[in-house]
Amino acid sequence: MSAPLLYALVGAGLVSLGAWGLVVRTHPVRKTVAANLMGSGAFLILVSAARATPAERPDPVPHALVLTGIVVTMATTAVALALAKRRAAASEGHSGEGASDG
Amino acid sequence: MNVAVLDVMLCAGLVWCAVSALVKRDLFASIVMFISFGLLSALAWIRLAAPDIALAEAAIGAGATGALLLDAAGVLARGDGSAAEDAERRTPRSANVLGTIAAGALFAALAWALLSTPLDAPRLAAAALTGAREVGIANPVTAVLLDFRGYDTLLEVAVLLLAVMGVMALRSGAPVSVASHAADPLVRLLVGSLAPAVLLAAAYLVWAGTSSPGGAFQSGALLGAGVIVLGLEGMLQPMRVHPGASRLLLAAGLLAFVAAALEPVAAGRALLQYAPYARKGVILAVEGILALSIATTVAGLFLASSVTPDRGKAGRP
Amino acid sequence: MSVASFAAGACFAASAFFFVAGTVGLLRFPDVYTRLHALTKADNLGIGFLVLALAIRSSDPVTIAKLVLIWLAVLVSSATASNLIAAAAYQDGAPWWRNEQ
Repeated sequence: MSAPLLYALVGAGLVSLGAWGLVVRTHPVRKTVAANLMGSGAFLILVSAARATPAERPDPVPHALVLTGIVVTMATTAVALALAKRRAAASEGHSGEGASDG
Repeated sequence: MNVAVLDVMLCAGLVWCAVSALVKRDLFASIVMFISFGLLSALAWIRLAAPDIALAEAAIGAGATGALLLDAAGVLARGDGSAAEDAERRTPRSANVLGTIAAGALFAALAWALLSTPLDAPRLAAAALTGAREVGIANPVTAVLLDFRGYDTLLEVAVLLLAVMGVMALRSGAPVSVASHAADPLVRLLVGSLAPAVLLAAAYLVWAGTSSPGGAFQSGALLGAGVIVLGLEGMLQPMRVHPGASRLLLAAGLLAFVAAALEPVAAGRALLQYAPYARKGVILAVEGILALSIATTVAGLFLASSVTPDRGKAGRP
Repeated sequence: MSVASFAAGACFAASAFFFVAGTVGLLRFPDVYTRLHALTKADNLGIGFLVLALAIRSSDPVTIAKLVLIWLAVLVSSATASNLIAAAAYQDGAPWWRNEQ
C-alpha cells in the first residue's frame, strides 16, 4: 500500500466518523465538530489523490480547492455556531428564565 | 512514496483524535481533541507535500475554528444554566444502532471506491502547470487560485463575505466589550510582542506566494488568527472601534476581484481573461487586497459574534 | 562514527528520554500542578535537545538559526500557556495533592 492510499482511506474513515457524529450526537457544537471532521476527510482524499501522481510535484488543482475549502469551512462553521447561539438565546428569552449575566 | 512509520502513527493519531472529539462526554475535552486533530492534520499536509494547505490549517483548523467552538460551547453552557455535557441528550438506542450501521456502510462504500479506482487518474495538473509557467508564477497553487480556476476563487470569496454578513446579522445585540476584563499581564506581553512577528509573517506570505508556498489565503488565515488573539486580549477591536473601515475591508477583496474580472470584459475579452501584459501584476494586486480582506473576514467571523465573558467570572456559576 | 554524529545521536536519545519522562509525568502525577510541572520542564528540555541534535547535523547556519527560533518560540509559548492553565486551575479551586504519609 502506498502512503497516499493510506491517507485516502483515513479520509474515508473521517467522512464516515463525521457522518456518524452528525446523526448520533445531539449537542449543536459537537454536530459542528462532526461536520468539520467530514470536511477534513474529504480534503484528505483530495490531497492524497493529488500526491499520487507519478509526476515530480503534486497536482496543484486539488491543493487550491482544499486551501480555499479550509477558509470556507471556517466561515460556514462560524455561521452554524452563530445560528446555534441565536437559537439558544431565543429559547432562553421565550421561556423567561435563565440567568442573563451578560 | 512508501508508507513510513511516521505516516502510520500520524494516521492513527488523526483517527484517535477524531473519535475522541466525537465520543468524549466533556464538551471542552472534545473541542481540545478537535484542536489536536487540526494540528496533526497540518503535519499530514506536510507529509502529503502540500505546504500551502498546512499553513492555512495551522492558523484556521487548529486556531480560529477552535476559538469559535470554545466560545460557542461557553455561551450555550451558560444559556442552559448547566454543565455543557448535560446538554447532550440521550440518543434513542435505535437511532444509535441505525446511525452506526449507516456510517459503517458509508465507510465500506468509500473504501471500495478508493481501492477500485486508481488514485493517479488523469488530471488537470499538466494544464495547470503550463498555465502557471505562462503567467510567470512559480508557485502553481497561487496560479491555479487566481488564474487557472479564478472563477471558483471569485465565488468562494463571495461566500466568505456572505458568511460574515450572516454572522453579523445573527448576533443578538451589540458585541460585549471584551476589553473590560483585566487581561493577564503575561499574556498581554506575549501577544503584544508576537503581533509584529505575525504581521511580518503575513506580509511575507503574500510576497513569497508567487514563488514559494504562501499566498492570499494562507496570509489572510495567519493574520486573521493573530487579530483574533489580539481581540481576545482586548488590544484590538476592529469591529467595535472602526466598524466602517472593517466593513470596507471585508468587501474590498470581492470588489477588487470583481473589478479585475470585469476589466477584460470591458476591453472585449472574456471574464477573468486578464490582459496578457498585465497578467502577473493584476494577480499580485488582487492577492494583496484579498489577503487583507480574508484576514478581516477570519477575524470578523469570530469577533463579530463572540461574547467573551469577563475572565474573573468565567467558570463561576 | 564521527564525533559530530555521535553527539547528535546522544542528543536525540536525551530528547527522547525527556519526552518520555514528561509524558509519564503527565499520565501518572496526582494533580494538575504537578502534571504541568512534568510536562513543561521535560518538554522544554526535550525540544532543546532535539534542536541541538538537528543543529549538530545541519551545516547551514540559516537552518540552525531557524531551529533556535523555533526552540525560543516553543519556550515562550509553553511557559505562558502553563502559567495560564495553572492560574485558571487555581482560580477554579482545583484540588492540591498532599503527601498523606
